[in-house]
Amino acid sequence: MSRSLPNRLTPYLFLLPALLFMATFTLYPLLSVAYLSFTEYDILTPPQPVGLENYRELLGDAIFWLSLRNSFTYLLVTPVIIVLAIALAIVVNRRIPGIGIFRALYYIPVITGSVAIGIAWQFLFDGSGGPVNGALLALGLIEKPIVFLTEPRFTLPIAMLMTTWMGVGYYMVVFLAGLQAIPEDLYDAARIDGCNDIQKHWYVSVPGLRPSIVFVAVISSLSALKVFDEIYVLTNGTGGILNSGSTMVFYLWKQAFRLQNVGYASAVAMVLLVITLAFSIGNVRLLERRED
Amino acid sequence: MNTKRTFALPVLLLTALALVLSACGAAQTPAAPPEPQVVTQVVVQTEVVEVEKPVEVVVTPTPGPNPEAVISDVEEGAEITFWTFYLSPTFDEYIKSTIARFNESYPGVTVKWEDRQATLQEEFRNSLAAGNAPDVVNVPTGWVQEFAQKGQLLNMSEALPQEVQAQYFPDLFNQVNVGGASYQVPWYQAVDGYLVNTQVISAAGYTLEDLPTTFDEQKQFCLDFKERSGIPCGLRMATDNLLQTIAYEGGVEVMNEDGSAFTFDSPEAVQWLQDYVDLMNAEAIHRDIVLLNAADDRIGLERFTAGQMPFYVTGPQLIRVVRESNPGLYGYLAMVPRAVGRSGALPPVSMSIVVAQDTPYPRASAALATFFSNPQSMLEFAKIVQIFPSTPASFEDPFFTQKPVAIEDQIRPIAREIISSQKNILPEIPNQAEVNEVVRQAIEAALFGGVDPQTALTDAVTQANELIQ
Repeated sequence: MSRSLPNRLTPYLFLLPALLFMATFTLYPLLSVAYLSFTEYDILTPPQPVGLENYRELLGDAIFWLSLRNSFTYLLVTPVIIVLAIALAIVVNRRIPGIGIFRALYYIPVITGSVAIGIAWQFLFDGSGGPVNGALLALGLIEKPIVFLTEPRFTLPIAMLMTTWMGVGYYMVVFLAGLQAIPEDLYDAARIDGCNDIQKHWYVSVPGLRPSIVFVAVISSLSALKVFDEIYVLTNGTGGILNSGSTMVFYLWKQAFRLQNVGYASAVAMVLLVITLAFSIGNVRLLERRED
Repeated sequence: MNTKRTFALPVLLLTALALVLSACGAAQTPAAPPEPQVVTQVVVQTEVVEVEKPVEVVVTPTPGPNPEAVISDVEEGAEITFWTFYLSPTFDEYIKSTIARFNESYPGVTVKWEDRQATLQEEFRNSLAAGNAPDVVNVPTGWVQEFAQKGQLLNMSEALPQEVQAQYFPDLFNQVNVGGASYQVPWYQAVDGYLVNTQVISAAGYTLEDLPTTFDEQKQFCLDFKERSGIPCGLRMATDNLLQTIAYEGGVEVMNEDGSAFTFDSPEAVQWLQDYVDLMNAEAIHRDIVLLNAADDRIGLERFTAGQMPFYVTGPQLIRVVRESNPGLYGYLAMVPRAVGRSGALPPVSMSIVVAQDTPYPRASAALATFFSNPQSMLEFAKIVQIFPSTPASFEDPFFTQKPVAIEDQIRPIAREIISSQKNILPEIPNQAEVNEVVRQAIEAALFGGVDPQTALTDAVTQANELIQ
């Protein structure tokens, strides 16, 4: 018996508010950016269609390619943050007095503003009196202070280190929840089978955390591709000496809001969209296949 | 008995009246008329003689036109929005009292004042795009060109009468030249000088008299100072407009005469960049300060406050920041004029007031812009903070000739001389933001990337010329 029209429409009516919301705040801006990427637009004057000119220009733009390379380099944060977060989760997954304090301490960077953290990290790596220079000098590893943030080779690694430090607490909580869902019997069985502590975690904890690892891998790699705050704060909004810290999102921000090339910035955004989309799909498929 | 007395009194009165009347009748009996006689009498006669003679008297003047109401035909019932930049809450009282005075001069105009901070530029740009821009806006002068070139601002050269334009220093009124016109009125000015740490320089055997007065002396001073004390100088370029730094410090013509091509790879420009490379290689300047954005001035000031540089180029208005961070240093501070570049000119350090081109109240908006920047308003502002007027008349006040007491005021007696000599020597730069980015990359390549200054600047000129074709 076929359903009546009102019955068939009912599910769509329930979906309508969410669809309207998404259409207004996701689909419309997305289509606008796609349109603007084919125009020359500076916010103050109406967009002028330029066809594929922005995309053609991207191909010959050395700073765009550098930013793209930096964004991919930034993905190295993902495996590092996963390993550190799992290790931390294992460490704090114990029933000992005061463990809650440690869990909270590791989580503090997550809830601290990135600007405040950026200023603190600027101080850490300061070339005239920063603690990192102080330590290196005390250890005799350097003869004179290094002005880290004016050395192009250090800008990106420092930003990546900062991202890792800021994010590890959040992912630790995700893995902690995953660990607590693993039945204790499995650890008992592993112990009976003769596993030591490391083997126990390698053969029980890590496989048990696979859904969490998939989640963290996707989320953290997307965050790495979209990194902006760390670069902005550490380089005082310049992208670093010789654009050494410029990433895709930073570059599109600079083009749009510093140089008023909104059309060109939209083209960068579309390229980023394609990359992140492909990356997310690939990431999920790969990990799902492993799970099968 | 009573009846008798009542009757007797009228009788008595009537009898007395009859006697009096009979006597009068005897005096008016007709007789011969007297002969008229001429007699001499002395009388007092007053004569009024009008003589014009100047005398000083105290009078209460009749109310007349308000001298501060210099714009005529202001739109009746105008409601205008005024955005300021980083002035609230410190200067709320001043702004409100000035608006109150404005309302006395231009009754019927309503002003809605809002202060904007770090996001002003983006907000103003977006509001212009959305068609709901404020009527009057206070912006750093460096931002004016972008908005003027895109036709978003009112042409002040046309909107203001000549006598109103003449209230400003001419080089300040015309400091942003777009198509031969001014699109701003100059508001408060700063005077950048050397903020000196006398402890640091005296420890190295220097006095205030030894400080450099020219760009060439500055280079030598920094090299010598580094060698003698190990402390680098805190030189910083104008990163928002690097061509300005090249032009003023290096005496460089940045464009050709007709403005069709850039020329900042000339021998003078290469020499200027080479000077900085020499200073950098000798570690005589701070690597992380030289290209610091103006918005991050705090970093330079922190370094200065920590005693890590002999002087820092900044305005007296920022001494309070040093004082708050390190009160003990305050007594060792001095403020002296900074070195003048090879151009011999000093760049203006200005705040401007602009009016949106599409305002429905252009006359009321122009009235507010000129009112806040008139001599009286400027003088009152200068009395509460270390800024300087853009109006020569304000400097006639004894306030500017008083002997300075505080360190912040040391430049005040010579402020007029400095401000009157400030002028923009740059031509109108098309596509300024992108050109500036190209120049920045060239300077970074030479200072940090080991690229030869000539190569860096020639490459930059090629790229910049592509941007304006």
